[in-house]
Amino acid sequence: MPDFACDLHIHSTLSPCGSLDMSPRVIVDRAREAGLDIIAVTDHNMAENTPYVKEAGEHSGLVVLAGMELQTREEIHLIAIFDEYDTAYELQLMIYDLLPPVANDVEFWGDQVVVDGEDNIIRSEERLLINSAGISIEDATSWIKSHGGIAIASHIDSPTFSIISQLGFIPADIPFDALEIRDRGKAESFMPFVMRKGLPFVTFSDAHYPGDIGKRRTVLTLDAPDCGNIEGALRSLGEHGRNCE
Amino acid sequence: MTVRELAQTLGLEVLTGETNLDREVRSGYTSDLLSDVIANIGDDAVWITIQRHVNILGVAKLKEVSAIIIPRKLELDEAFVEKARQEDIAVLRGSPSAFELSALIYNYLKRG
Repeated sequence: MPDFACDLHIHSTLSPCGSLDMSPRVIVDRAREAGLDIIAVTDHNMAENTPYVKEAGEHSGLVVLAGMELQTREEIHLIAIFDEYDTAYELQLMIYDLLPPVANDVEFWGDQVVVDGEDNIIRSEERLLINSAGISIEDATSWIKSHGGIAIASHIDSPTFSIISQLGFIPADIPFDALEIRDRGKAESFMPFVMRKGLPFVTFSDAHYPGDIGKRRTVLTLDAPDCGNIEGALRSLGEHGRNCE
Repeated sequence: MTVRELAQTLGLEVLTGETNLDREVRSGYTSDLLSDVIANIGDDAVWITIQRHVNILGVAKLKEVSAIIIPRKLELDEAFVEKARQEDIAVLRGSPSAFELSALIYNYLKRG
């Protein structure tokens, strides 16, 4: 089975904290330069730039999965990955309704714009996206799993917006596929806070600027680059010692 | 003051039935960050929080809090309430905000 270099946590122009340089075209070019095989664009509570990245990626042989980084009511960040944009968009519609109707202050937070594959701005999102949706971490994770997606707890070693910063430890009954960690050297020190044995650690860039894409990555051995195979690869990664090399 | 008296005085809804209602209340702490609560909550304290995940019950148990108080009539999962009952932790709920509840409770406790 071939190896795939994966960076499944990348922000784009649609994340207020993401650089305006992070257009679909730039993301794809940079991902190719960085030698990545599979990427996912995971904007805060939004999936809408995914199809443009996918379109741009197809010309260059890059696999682009649909994604989102949700923020739950506990202020936990959660990565959702899907094969189909339609599923990610369905999640976006649901999450959008659960976000407080607070306007984005562009001066403070930055722009939130949908950009197509040729760097044209399609629309600007007015609602502040860096905010918690009224859904629990359990319900959000269960929704992702019941819709064929991959659910990964974001940056569990971050002092903010991580399941450990918010809840102290990771309950066994939340059906995560993996835990994202920024400093893979620290994975061992977080094991006591992970109640479910065999939950694998992965590392991704969480890039907000083009130069960061692929700086952290996880190599997965897959039959095919889709969610079903990634889910299986993560499971076996967990069974064989939580390696995120 | 007991949890029962506090609930009656402030008109707080008791979600966990008779669980631990005669427990003494001498102080309170308002925070949603678990590590902050672990580090700073006092003895015989009520804990005012909008966090409603079952993990907070672990912290409540660890710090032996007198009761958890949920502001703004926020919705709670039945599983949370059931687990609180099992762990012998009283859960109360009120309509005021965390700020207002903190002020009200502070004043009652001060008065003794």
